[in-house]
Amino acid sequence: MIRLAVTLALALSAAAVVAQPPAQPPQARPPARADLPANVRVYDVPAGSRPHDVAPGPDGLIWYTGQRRGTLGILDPRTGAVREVRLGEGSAPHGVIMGPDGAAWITDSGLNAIVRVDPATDAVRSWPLPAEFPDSNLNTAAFDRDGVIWFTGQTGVYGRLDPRSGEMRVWRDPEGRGPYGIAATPAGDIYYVSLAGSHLARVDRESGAATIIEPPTPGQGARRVWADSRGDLWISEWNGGQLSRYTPSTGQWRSWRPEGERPRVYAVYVDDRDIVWVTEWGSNATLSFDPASERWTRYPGSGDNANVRQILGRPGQVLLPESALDRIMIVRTGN
Amino acid sequence: MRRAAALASLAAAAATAAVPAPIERGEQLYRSACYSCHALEPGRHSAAGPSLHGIVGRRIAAQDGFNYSPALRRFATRQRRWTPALIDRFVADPETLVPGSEMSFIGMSDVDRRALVAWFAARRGRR
Repeated sequence: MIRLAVTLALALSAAAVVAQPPAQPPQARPPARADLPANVRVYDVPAGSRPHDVAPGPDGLIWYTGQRRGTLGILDPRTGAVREVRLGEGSAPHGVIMGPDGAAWITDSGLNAIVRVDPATDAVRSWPLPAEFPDSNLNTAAFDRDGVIWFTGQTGVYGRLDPRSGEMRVWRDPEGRGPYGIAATPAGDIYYVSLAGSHLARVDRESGAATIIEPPTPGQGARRVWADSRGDLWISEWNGGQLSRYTPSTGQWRSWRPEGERPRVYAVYVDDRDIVWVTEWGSNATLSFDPASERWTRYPGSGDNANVRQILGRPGQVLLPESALDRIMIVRTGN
Repeated sequence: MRRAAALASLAAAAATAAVPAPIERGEQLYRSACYSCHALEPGRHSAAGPSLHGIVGRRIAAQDGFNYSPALRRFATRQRRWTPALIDRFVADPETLVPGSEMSFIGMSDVDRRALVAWFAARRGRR
């Protein structure tokens, strides 16, 4: 007991002498590299934002979660102007998507709540998780075909909120910690992946039960998932360093590995042409993959260690939040 | 003057009552901020992160069975062990201390980091 107290006192004093601000002061941001492809533009957002996720907003605007500033950022790419909506004391927003109502829907790990921001009034409304699910480390959300929002929490939970009634239900992942990316198929089915658990899961929208689907590569660290127009699921495998496709109708898997010594595939998104986009941290690049030709196209980060954690887009645009550089990159896809 | 001192004392007492003791707060912070990726059992690494068993004083990027980033391996050639002070700096902002770090983490306030590091230190030596 005495030893524990001494250790604790030593640790406290050691930590106390470190003069460290809660969030490090934003450092001068290096300029974007000059040799970016012609169809790429980058936009600065307020220093220290650490934009985690991004989504197309109304009227050509772009939403992003300012994870370190507790904000929903709104970028107008026509002017480069940024406006911020504060989400509340303690906010640390992770994901953002547009709901069927045109509003921004946010998974806020700091507030442990699903948050809606009205695009016309900036009004912020929150739905906290039930008390028995504190600190769920909320991650990502997706709407099903009935307008219900489904979400994941990395401490090992997933759940649903019906915005019309406000009813929320939360379940525990059968294998524990790790639920991360979540997506709806064109038919409206819900799948999520578990990073720490290295699995894909299909959610029964009626009962809420999750059925685990084990990918063939063990320990692959499935981070995000997206569906193409046929309902096939594309999965970014962080540890496995590859892009995988799961076909629900046949149960078949197939994988492709980007070039490089140690690829780390973080985010995945399928655009309106069924081109698959991934971010690959090992080479600090975003890659597009054409499943028909099996060819990759590379888009380098605008600076070192850009750390793009998510991808989303709309016809003609792919949006990339460069979280470590406080920038949003837009790739025009020629539509 | 006396009234101001009394008010300050009351405020301090209220703050003390509202804030959990640092050691309890540290465990709470581990559950909310670290648990998603890091277990505490020896050798129980996940795809997302290595076990934090015995993290205080442990050699950096040296656990068998976890594939550390090249950035953290480079860092380990300059800093050999996780001291409380180094853990504090890393948790404050992994990307600033170790550019190229693969740990996704938003950071934590001074007070919370102190509580978290104290809790890790208190667990030192546990099996």
